[in-house]
Amino acid sequence: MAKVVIDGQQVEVREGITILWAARQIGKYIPTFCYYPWFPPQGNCRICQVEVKGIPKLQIACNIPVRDGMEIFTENERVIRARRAVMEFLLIHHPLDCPICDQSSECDLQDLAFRHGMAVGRYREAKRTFPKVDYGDKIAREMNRCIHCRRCIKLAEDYMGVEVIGALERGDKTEIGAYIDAIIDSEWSGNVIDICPVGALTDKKFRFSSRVWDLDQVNAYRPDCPHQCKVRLGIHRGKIQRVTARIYNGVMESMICDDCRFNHYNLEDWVLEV
Amino acid sequence: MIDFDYKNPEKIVFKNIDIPGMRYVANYRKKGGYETARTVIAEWKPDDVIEEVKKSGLRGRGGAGFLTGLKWSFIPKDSPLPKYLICNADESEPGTFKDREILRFDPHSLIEGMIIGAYAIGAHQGYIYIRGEFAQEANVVNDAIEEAYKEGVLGKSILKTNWDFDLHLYRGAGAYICGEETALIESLEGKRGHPRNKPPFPAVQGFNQSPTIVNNVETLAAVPYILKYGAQGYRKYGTEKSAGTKLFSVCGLIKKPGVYEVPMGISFKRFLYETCGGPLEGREFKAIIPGGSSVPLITREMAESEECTMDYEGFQKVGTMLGSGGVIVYDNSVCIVRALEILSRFYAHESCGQCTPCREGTGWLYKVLHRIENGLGHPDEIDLIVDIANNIDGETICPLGDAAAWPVQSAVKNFRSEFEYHITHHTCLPGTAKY
Repeated sequence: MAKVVIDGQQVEVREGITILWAARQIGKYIPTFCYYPWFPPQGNCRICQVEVKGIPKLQIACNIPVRDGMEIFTENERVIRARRAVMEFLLIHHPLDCPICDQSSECDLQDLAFRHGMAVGRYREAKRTFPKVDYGDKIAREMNRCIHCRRCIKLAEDYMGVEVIGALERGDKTEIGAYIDAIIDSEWSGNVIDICPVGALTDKKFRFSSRVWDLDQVNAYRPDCPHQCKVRLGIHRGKIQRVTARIYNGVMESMICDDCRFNHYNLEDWVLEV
Repeated sequence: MIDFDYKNPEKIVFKNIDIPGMRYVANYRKKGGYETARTVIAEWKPDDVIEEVKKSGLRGRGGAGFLTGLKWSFIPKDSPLPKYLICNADESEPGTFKDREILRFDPHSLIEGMIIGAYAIGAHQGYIYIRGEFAQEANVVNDAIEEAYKEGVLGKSILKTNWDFDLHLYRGAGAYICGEETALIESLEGKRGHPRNKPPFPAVQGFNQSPTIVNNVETLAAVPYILKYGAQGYRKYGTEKSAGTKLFSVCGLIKKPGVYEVPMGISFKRFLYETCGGPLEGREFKAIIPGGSSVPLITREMAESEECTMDYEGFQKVGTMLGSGGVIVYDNSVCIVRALEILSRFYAHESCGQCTPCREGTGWLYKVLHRIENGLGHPDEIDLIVDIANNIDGETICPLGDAAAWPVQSAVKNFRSEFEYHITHHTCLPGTAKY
């Protein structure tokens, strides 16, 4: 066990866990974008930076393991300044299309923009835009909304088992795209929709059909599914509008197959867990 | 300050640079080459080699200036994994061209240094990661490695000892970011050149998840001299904290640009005026970047001050860094805003796009600077670029973000009036031109 001090609060945590988990244990909130418990930390988004006493630079909470006697500050002025800076960088190119975005109200970026975003933009240049690429009839890619957290790439590589999407170009022109033929070719491809923290990858069949806050979210499963996917149905006016994985605290419980996600919109197919 | 003959610099790393034909192994061996490596492998213990390099005070010449011996000692002794020594020949820092000369004219001193380094850390595999644009140099090094294999300098039981060492040449594909050691390792593994998070450090988990040491060309080329003449022999040059000699590649508007090897701790002013011949006729220096484009730039007054000596500490005193030793000289005919715009365009172009502040910030910096330079800046935008630079500085995975931020911060601090002139008059200062 390691004794650490987080924001003046003494806490005893298991040796080797990261600062992020140590802080979560005592209910401290550290925002994250690229961090997902399924993968090793990537450290791309830099939003989870915290100050560690004795280290001159800010450290990313998702990657640094706690050591005995560490003193961590998660909400002092310097940390908040860094978060605001990262939020500003993420938002300079982000389109202001929350009113028509399907992710709206489930969007991590939206939540954090309320919390740490600036009211006034200082960006006077033209916003970066990407050409539209058609990803078939399942996934809608809106690259302009992307925050480059690369969770979808990690998911494709590590869990879907196909290296079909990745970063193209570099610098601020970096584009998350499919390598060949603009298709994410996998039985599990729909899960990139659930893992995307913003509205860059959305469900094409759900598009513009209903707002998320109008949906009744019901857990369900389909007896015919060979994978026995644990899904959550979004029901509005007696109709299934969308099928997603069950998401608890921002993390999927498990992946669901494309068959469940895109092909079964009849309530008779499902057994509801009510 | 070190007493030194400014007109005729002494040579350690560059000892063979003027001798024709040193790229051939026969000529190199005639001059006593590979003798040191053979003696070290036959008679020294690996720990003693590391100890000797530690004592010599040799610091990494790639930019960060970390103690080489200390870095080598971080390799875990009891690890069952293979160990690797990688030479970072991806010299792509603007204004730096010192390693190129070693690769081109004296590749065997690098190979000898790598043999010694590999023996010290227990590596049987070595890689030279050479910059993609160095086509000619890659050929020279490749020929040198092939010859070395034929001579028995590399391969099995090298130099008639019982040590095996294989050396491979790997050509990069032209990305600046791959000069950063973890991005270099990723690139060497065949992946996209993205820096990794630290910890774990490469000495514990590097190439192929095995303990790896990445050293600069100049660092490794200095190792044979240290082992031949001992740590004390090397410490004859330089200062207490910055031992030995350093290669400085001087470019820009100066009379005698080129690569110079000088002992550390000498006067920067005298170096610029006596060794490099001073400014062009009728001009004077305006700003100087002493360590490759990634370090803060300093004004003429700071560069010529008494305390600005050519070592790690001396440059720190005037608010900049030694870096990789690429001196870029701007004289009074240069528009600083334009110069800064060029630098920030480079960083915006070379940012790998992995982490947020650098990906978004470098592009933003360039766009704002481009507008200011072209007379379309707003009065509040001088503070804006400093603020963007401050927000990038220290918040990125690798030092590329810092490198993009420091020149902006220092240029605005030292030459603010020029930025203001651009905004009020919509043009460059009179007498300055666009280069």
